[in-house]
This record gives sequence, C-alpha cells and structure tokens, in this order.
Amino acid sequence: MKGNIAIMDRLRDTSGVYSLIGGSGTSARVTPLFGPQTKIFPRILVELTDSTPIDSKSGAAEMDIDFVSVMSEARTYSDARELADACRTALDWQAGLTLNDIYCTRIRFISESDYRESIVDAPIYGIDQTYEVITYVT
Amino acid sequence: MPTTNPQLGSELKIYIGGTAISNLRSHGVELTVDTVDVTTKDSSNAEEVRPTIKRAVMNFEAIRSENATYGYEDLLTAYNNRTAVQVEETNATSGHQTLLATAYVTSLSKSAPFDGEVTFSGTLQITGGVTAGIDT
Repeated sequence: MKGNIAIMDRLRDTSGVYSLIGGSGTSARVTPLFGPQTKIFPRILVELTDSTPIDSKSGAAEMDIDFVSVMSEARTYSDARELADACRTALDWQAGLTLNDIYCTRIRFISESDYRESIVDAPIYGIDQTYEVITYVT
Repeated sequence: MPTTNPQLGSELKIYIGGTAISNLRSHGVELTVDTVDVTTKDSSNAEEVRPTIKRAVMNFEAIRSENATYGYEDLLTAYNNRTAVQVEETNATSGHQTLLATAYVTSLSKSAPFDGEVTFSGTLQITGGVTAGIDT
C-alpha cells in the first residue's frame, strides 16, 4: 500500500530527477494524479493504478504489491525522455528503502509507453512508466 | 437471509503438532480406497468391487516467511529425519469437525520466482487412517 507515496518521495529526493524539474523535496514538481494549474513543465505525475495484497490464511496481508504509474511530461520529447530515464535510474531495482515511513522491499520497472496531450498553446509529450512496488503494510 | 452458511477456505488450516503451518495459501485432503475386482459370470455384466486398503494424503501450499512459527524449515526437518508428525485439519473452533492423523512429509518443493514471493508446497502422506472428530 501507498507505493505511489513512496515513489513520489524517492523522486523528490533524487538529485538526478529534481534537477530536471526544479525544486527539491516537497517543492519538486512531482504530484499525485494532477499537475498544478500553472502547467509548468517538465513535471512528473504519479498514480497508484493497482494494489494487491499477498494474502494467506494467517490473516491480514503483511505485504502488498502495488503498481504505480510515473508520467514524465515536457514541452519537447527529448526533455520527456531525459526525465523518464532519470526516473528509471532513481527507481528500478531499488531495494530495502524506507520512503516517507513506507518500507519498500523492492521497486521494479515493468513497462513504458509514449503519450501526447494537446493543449491550446503547445503540445505536451509524455512517457508513462509502470513500476511494481512491494511494500510492507504498517 | 441465506442459510447455506458455506465454510470459507481461509478458516481451515493444517496443524502439525498443534501449530498451524504459517502463511498457508491452500491445502487439500484426498481420501481414496483401493479395490479388488470380484466380478464373476454371475455379476449381470456389471463390474463388482470390494474396498481394500484406505489411503490418505494432505497437500498444501504456503508463503515462505523468515519469522514463521511453523514453516518450511520445520517441514524440512521432519522430511530429513523421516519423523512421523501429528496432523490435524481444523478451523480451531470448538464444536467444529476436525480430521486427525499421523503422517510423514513425503514431498517438499520450493518456488522462488524473480518477480514474486517465495512459496513452498508439500505432501503429508498419512499412515494408519484418518480420524474424524469434533474440536473441543
């Protein structure tokens, strides 16, 4: 559970990521689901798309498998690509991290795809990456 | 209001020596009996059989945990030592049916995929028959 929050924490605190989007920590442009109305790019949107408990007959699950979508958006494709690559470096196969009090056994890159959005003043290029996050339920 | 009151699989566990196998995912109990063919010319062209030897096994699958109360390592010990264990299938609720037997660990397998949890499965071969009782 809360794998999306753990990933946002990781991205906000990784210099290779926040150097591309401006700010650091909570001021970095990494937000859940929606970006700020000011539409400043590049930016990262994070979405929890699925959370499945690792169940057994022993009771409530102690670990969940979360799938988190990390969307890197920019005004140019090359900027979006650079940001997505930085996210993958920050997240893929990271293990044993405690992020925002959430213990992540492992974060693993699953897949990615391009997308685009049409906004009146300019197109937005996006790369949607999916990560598997195994978290302890606390 | 439904009155069928079906039992849920999550309520039933396998206990070995009074301790439940930790993190069980599923289990099953198979009871069979061998038969001998006693068909004769007087059988009206229909097979006739008589039961002989009763056989029983319990199969299970569980998640391996580092801090299991009774887990893979305990079953491995029973397997290595070829030790007879007391097994019971029950929901540990007074007044409910239980199955009680003595068994040997005759198979133990482990699976460790790169993208999932480690699981193990095994077979408890029952010796001397199964006793059905009521949990007290």
